[in-house]
Amino acid sequence: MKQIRFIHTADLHLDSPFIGLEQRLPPELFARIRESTFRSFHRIIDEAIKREVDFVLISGDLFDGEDRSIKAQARLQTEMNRLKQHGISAYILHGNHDHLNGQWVSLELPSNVHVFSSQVEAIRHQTKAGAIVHLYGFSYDKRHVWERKINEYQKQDGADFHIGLLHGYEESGKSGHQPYAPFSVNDLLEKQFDYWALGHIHQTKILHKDPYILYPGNIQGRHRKEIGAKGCYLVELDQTGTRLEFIETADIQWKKEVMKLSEEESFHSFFMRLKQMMEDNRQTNQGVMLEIQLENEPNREIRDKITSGELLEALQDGEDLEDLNESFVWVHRFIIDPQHPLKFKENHPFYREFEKQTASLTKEDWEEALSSLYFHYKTTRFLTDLTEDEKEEMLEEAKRLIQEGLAEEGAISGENF
Amino acid sequence: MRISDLHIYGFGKLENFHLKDLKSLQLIYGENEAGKSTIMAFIHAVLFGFPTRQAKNYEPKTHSKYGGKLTLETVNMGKAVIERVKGTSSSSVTVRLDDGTIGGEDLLRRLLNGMDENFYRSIFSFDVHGLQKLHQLKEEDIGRFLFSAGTVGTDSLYRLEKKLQKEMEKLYKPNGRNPVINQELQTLKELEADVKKGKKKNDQYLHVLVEIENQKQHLSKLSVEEGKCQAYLERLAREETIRPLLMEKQRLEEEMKAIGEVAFPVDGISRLEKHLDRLHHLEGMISALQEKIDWKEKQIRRWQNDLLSLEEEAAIEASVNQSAEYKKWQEDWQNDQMKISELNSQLEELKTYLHFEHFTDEEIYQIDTSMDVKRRIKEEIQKLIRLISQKEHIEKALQTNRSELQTAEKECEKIEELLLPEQEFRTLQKKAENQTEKESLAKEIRWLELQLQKIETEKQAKKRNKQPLAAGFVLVFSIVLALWLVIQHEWLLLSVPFFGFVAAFLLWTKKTPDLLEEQEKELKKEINQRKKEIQEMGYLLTKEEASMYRKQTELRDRWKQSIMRLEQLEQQKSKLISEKKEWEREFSENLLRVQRIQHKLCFPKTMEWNILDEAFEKLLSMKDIIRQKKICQERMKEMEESIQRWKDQLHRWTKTLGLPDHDIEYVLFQLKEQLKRNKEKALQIKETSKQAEQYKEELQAVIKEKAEFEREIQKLFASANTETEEDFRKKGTQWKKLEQLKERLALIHRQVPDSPDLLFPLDQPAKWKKAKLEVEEKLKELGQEKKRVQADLAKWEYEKKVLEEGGTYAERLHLFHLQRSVVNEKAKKWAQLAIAKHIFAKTVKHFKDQKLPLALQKAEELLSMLTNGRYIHLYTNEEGKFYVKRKDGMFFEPQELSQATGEQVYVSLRLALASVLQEEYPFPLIIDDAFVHFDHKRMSAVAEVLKEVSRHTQILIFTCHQHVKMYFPETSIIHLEEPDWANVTK
Repeated sequence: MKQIRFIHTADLHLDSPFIGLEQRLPPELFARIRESTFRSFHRIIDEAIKREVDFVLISGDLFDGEDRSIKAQARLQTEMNRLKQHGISAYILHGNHDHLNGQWVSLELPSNVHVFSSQVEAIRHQTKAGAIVHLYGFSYDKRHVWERKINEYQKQDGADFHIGLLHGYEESGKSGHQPYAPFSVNDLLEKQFDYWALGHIHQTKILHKDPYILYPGNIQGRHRKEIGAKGCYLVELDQTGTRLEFIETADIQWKKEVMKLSEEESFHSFFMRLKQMMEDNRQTNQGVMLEIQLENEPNREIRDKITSGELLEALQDGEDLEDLNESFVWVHRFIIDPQHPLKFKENHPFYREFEKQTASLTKEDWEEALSSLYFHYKTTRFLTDLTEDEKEEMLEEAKRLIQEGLAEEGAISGENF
Repeated sequence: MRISDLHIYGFGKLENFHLKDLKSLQLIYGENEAGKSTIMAFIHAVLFGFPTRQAKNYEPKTHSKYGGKLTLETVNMGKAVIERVKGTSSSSVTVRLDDGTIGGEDLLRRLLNGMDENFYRSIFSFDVHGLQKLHQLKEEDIGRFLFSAGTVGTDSLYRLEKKLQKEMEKLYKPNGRNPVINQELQTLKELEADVKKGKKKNDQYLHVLVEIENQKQHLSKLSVEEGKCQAYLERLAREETIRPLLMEKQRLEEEMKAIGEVAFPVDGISRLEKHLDRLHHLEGMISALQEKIDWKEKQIRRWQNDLLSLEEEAAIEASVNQSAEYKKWQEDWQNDQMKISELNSQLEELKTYLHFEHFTDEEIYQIDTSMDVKRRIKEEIQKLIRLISQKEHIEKALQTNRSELQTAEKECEKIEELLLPEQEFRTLQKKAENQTEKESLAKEIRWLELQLQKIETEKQAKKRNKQPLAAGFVLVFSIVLALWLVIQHEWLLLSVPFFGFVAAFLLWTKKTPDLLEEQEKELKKEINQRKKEIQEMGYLLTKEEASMYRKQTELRDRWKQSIMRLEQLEQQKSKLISEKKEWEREFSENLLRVQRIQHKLCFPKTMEWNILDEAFEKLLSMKDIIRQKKICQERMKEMEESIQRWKDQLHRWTKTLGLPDHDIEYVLFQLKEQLKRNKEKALQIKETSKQAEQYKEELQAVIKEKAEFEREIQKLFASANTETEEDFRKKGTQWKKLEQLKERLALIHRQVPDSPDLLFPLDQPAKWKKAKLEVEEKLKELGQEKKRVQADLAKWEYEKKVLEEGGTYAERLHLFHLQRSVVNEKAKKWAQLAIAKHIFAKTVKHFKDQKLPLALQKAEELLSMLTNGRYIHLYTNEEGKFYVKRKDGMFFEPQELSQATGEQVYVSLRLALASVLQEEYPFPLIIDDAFVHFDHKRMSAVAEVLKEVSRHTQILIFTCHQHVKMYFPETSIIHLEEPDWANVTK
C-alpha cells in the first residue's frame, strides 16, 4: 500500500528575540534564549532523520524580518545539508515575515530544497518507495498579500497524494492576526487534497479532520502569552487515512501558574509553596519561563516584598543556567491580580464622577496623558502602542488606585460636623 | 423629596405618635424630654435602619410594636410609604409606592439613590455642635468637608495627585537621568547604536565573501606554479637514474645478436619431462592390471570345478523342498489314525444298540438301505399310526351315539304327556283366527274414517271461498252497465250485464262440487259394512285361551322334531358298526407287511414296529461310519508310501554327495547346506568374471594412452628440429639463455622510454646539477608565499564565521529587543499611573468647573443674605485655600473671621451644599437647634435664609426655645405636648 511520511512545521521565526520580558536577564539565560529557536529547529531535523521521513514541509515565516539574519540563513543551510545527506527533501514557502522582496544576503540552499515561487505552483515528488506526491504552494512576494490565493490552487492528476501548503488566515478565526491570504475551510475542502499544511497562526490548531487541515503553530514560544508545548507534526498518509503525532521540540516553554494566599499565611510558608510550584513545573531537557499570578490581596508585608522586586529576585536565585542541557525554571513575572477587588462605597460623588470620566475617555485623552513618554520624539520609536485590552486593564487598575488612594487619605466616610 | 407624614408605632418613649402634613419649612417645638431627638432618630432609623442595641436602645418598654412608618413625596416616584418594624429577632422594611409597587430594602435604596446614613448626617443633618466646632475649623477641614461633599479638590486630593505624580517621576522624567525608565532608555539607545554598528558589519558580509574568493584563487595559482616546479625537479631526478640503464641496454643487445635465432617450443623441457613422467606411470599401470587379471582368472577356474550341474541342483532342491510335504503327510496319517479309532468306538455303540455285535463291518455294509426301503418303512408306519387313531375315533362315535339316543327317547315321552287332545285344540284354533280378522277390520275402519275427515275439511274450505264482496261489485258494475246501455239504446249488449248478474249470483252462492259429496257417501257406506261384519263374528278369544293356544302350537312342533331326531340316530348307529369291522381287517394286513421289512433289515423279530424308522436311521449311520473308516484306511496307506519314497530319495543323494548318513533330519540339513554353498559359489564366479572383464578394458585404454604419449614426445622433438632427447635438451638451454637476455632488456625498456628525451646529453652532468639548484630555490619561495596567503585566508574565513554565528550583530539585536521589551513593560507601569492621574485631574476639574462654582455661588448668596451684604464673595484656589471677601474688598481666611461670621460662613456653605446636591440627593434638611447663640438680627437673617432654601429643600427644625418660634409663621409650627397625649394634630 502506498504510504508517505513527512514532517509539517511552520513559523520558525529563526533568530527572533524574546519579547515581553520585564527585566534584564543573566547572560547565560540570555544566550540560551538566543539559541532557542535554532535548537528547536535542530531537534525537528533530528526527528526527520530519525523517523526516516520522505520530506519536510515548512509553511512560511522561517525568518523574523525582511532582513534575515545571516546566522539564521547559515543555520538553515546547515540543517538542509543534513537532510540532503539522508536523502530527505524539503519544500519551503515564505510568508509575510520573510517575503521574497526583502533585503538580504542570500545563501545558497542545497539541491534537496525547493522554495515555492510567488505564483501558485505544483511540484512532483517521488518517494523512495515509489509513491508520487504533488505539492502545491506559493511564497509571499511582498509583506501584505490580501488576495484569496486559494482560488489559484488547482489539483493536477497523476499522483497518489495531493498536499497543499498555505501561509494565510482562516476567516472565522480571532482577530489577533493579520488577515493575509484569507480562506475558509470549505475553500480548502473543495480542492480535494489529502492534507493541508498551513502556517501563520502561532497556536496549534486543527481546523478539520480527514482530510486534515491544521496549523502546527510556531516551534518556540517567544513571549509570555505563547504558553504551552511547541513543536512540529509528524504525518503519515496512506489510503486508509492519516495518522498524526505531535512532537515537542521547543527548547524553552512559557508557562503560567495561579497561586492563592491562605488566611494568615506567613511569608516563609508562601515562599516555600512558590518554590514547590517551581519544582512541579520543571521539565527535563527543557527550560521554563514561568509567570506567577497571585489571586488574592496579600498583606502589607508580602505586598511590599512583591512590589520591591525582592520576591522575584529570591525566586530567581539559585537556578543553574550554566549547562545548556540543564532544565531551568525562571520566574520572569509576578503579578497580583486579585479577583475580588476592594469594595468601595460607590456612592461617593467624587468616585462616581471619576467613573463617569473613565467611561467617557477619548483617544485624545490617552494621547494627552501619555504624551510625555510615548509621543516624545526621542522615545516614541521604542515604544509599542497600547492595545485596547491593555487600556481596559489600565482603566480598571486606575479605578482601584484611586479607591485605594482615597481610602488612605481617610476621605471616604465623612464625619459629622 | 419631602417627608409628609410620620407615624411612630413605638420608638423610644413615643408610642402611637402621628405627625401629619409636614410643610417644606417645618418647625417642631417641644420642651426638653418632649421627644425631639427621638423623632430625629426615628427618621434616621426608618430610612437607614435601626441602630444597634449597643449604640442606643429605642425599643419600647411597653409591648408596642417597635418601629413605624414615614410617608414621603418623591419627585419621580410619587408617594412612598416606608414602614420599618422589628420583631423579636429581625427587622424588616416595606416600601409601598403609589402605583402599587411593593418593595423592600432594595427599593428603599433606589429611592434614596444609594445614600447612606453617614453621608446623610454629614450633609443634611446638623446641630449646634457643628457650629461650635467652627472656631476649630481650619481650612483643611472646610476643604475636607467640601471634598467629602464632593465639590472641590483639596489637600487630600491634592495629596493623592501629588503622590501619583511622584510615582510617575520616579519612573520617568522627560529630560531626567535618574528615573528608572530614563536609565533603561539610555541603555536601549546604546544598544541601538551597537546594533547599527553590527548591521554595518553585517553588510560587509558580501565583501568578506569576495575577499575569500580572491584569496582562494591566488592560492590556487600559487599551487599551480609549485606544481610546475615540482614536475621539473622530478624530471631531472629521473634522468639521473636513467643513464646507467641505457648503457646496460647496449651491452645486452650485442649479446643477443651473438646468440641469434633459436627455435624451441615454449616450455619444451618441462613438457618433455611431463610426458616422460606420464609414460612411466602408464607402464606401471599396465603391468599391475595384467597381474590382477591373471589372478582373477585363476580363481574362477578353481571354483568352477566344484560346481554341481544344473540338473543335479534342481533335483536335490526338489527333494529338499518336499520336506514340508513330509511333515504334512505325517500329520495327516496321524489324524486318520485317530479318526479311525473314533469311528470304531461310534460303531461299537451303534452295534450294541441294535444287537449287531456279531456282525462284521462288511456284513452290515451289505444290508440294503436304499431310498426305496426307507420310503416304504415310512409309509407303513404312518399307515399304522393312522389306523390306530381311526380306531379311537370310531369307538368314540359309537359311544356318543348311544347316549344321544337315550336322551332323545326320554324327551319324546315327556312332550307327549303335555299335549292336549286333538279336538280341543281345533276349537282354540278357530277362535284365534277370528280375532285376527277382527283386528284387521278395525284397522280398515279407522283408515276410512280418516278419509272422511279429509273430505269434510275440503268442503269447509271450499265453502269459505264464497266471495260476497266480489259478487257485490260485479253486481253494481253490471247494473250500471245495464243502465248505461239502456240509455244508449244498445239493446244487444245487454247480455253482458246479464252475464254479470249471473256471475254475481254464482259467487254469492258457491256450492261445493258434487264429487265430494259422492265420495263422502261411498266412504260412509264402507264403514258401515265393516262394522257390520265385526258384529257378526262369534265368540272371541279370551286372554287365557289365547295363551293356551299359543303354548299348544309350540308343543306340537316340538314333538314332531323329537321323533325325527330319533330316527336319525338309529341310522347313525348301524353305519358306525360296519366301519369298525372294516378297520380291523386293514390293521392286521399292515402289521404283516412291517414285519416282513424288519426281517429284511436283519432286525430282531422282537423289535417293536414303532421304533423301526429310528432303528433304520441308526443302521444308516453305521453304514456311513464304516464307509468313512474305509476311506481313512486307504488314505493312510497312501501317506506311508509317499513318505517312504521320499526318504529313499534323500538317502540316495547323500550317498552320491558323499555326505555322512544319519537320520532323516540330519540328512535334510546337510543337503540344504550343500545347496546353499553351491549357490554362493556360482555368484562369486559371476562377480569375479565381471571384475576381470573390467580390468581387461582398463588395460586396453592405458595401452592406447601410452601410444599417444609416445607420439607426442616425437612431435616435441620434431618442433625443435631434433630427434634425440640429448639434442633436444641442449637446444633448450640455449633458448633459455636467450629468453633471460630478452627479459632483462624488457625491464630496462620499462624504466626507460625507447628514445628518451634528455634535457642534457649523457656526458654533461654539470649542467644538469645547476638547473636542479635553480629550481629548488624557486620552490622554496613559492612555499613561503603560499603560507602567507593561507594565513590571510584563515583570517577572512574566521570573519565570515563570526558573522554567520551572529556573534556580534545577532547578539546585539537580541539584547536590543530584550531591552526594548523591558522598557515597554516599565513604560506600561508609568502609563498606568499617567492615565489614572489624568482621569483624576479631569474629575477634579469637573468638580471645580461645575460643582464648586455652583456651591460657592449659592453660599455667597446665602452668606450675603446672612450678613446683610457685609461679606459678599467666597473664593477658593487650586490648592483648596479658602477666602472670604468683604464688601470693602478685603480677603480673609476663615480663621481670621470672628466666630459668629465663621458660623455664618459655615451655615451658608452647608445650606448651599445641600441645595446644590438636591439634584442627586433630594433629601430634607434636619436642623437640631443649631441657632441657639444667634442674636435677634442674626436669627431673623437665618430665618430668611431658611425660607429661601426651603423653596426647594424641605427643612425640619427642632427647637426648645420659645424665641425661635417667633421667626416662623404659626402654620409652620408643630407643638409637641407633654408625654401622655394621644393624637396631636395641627
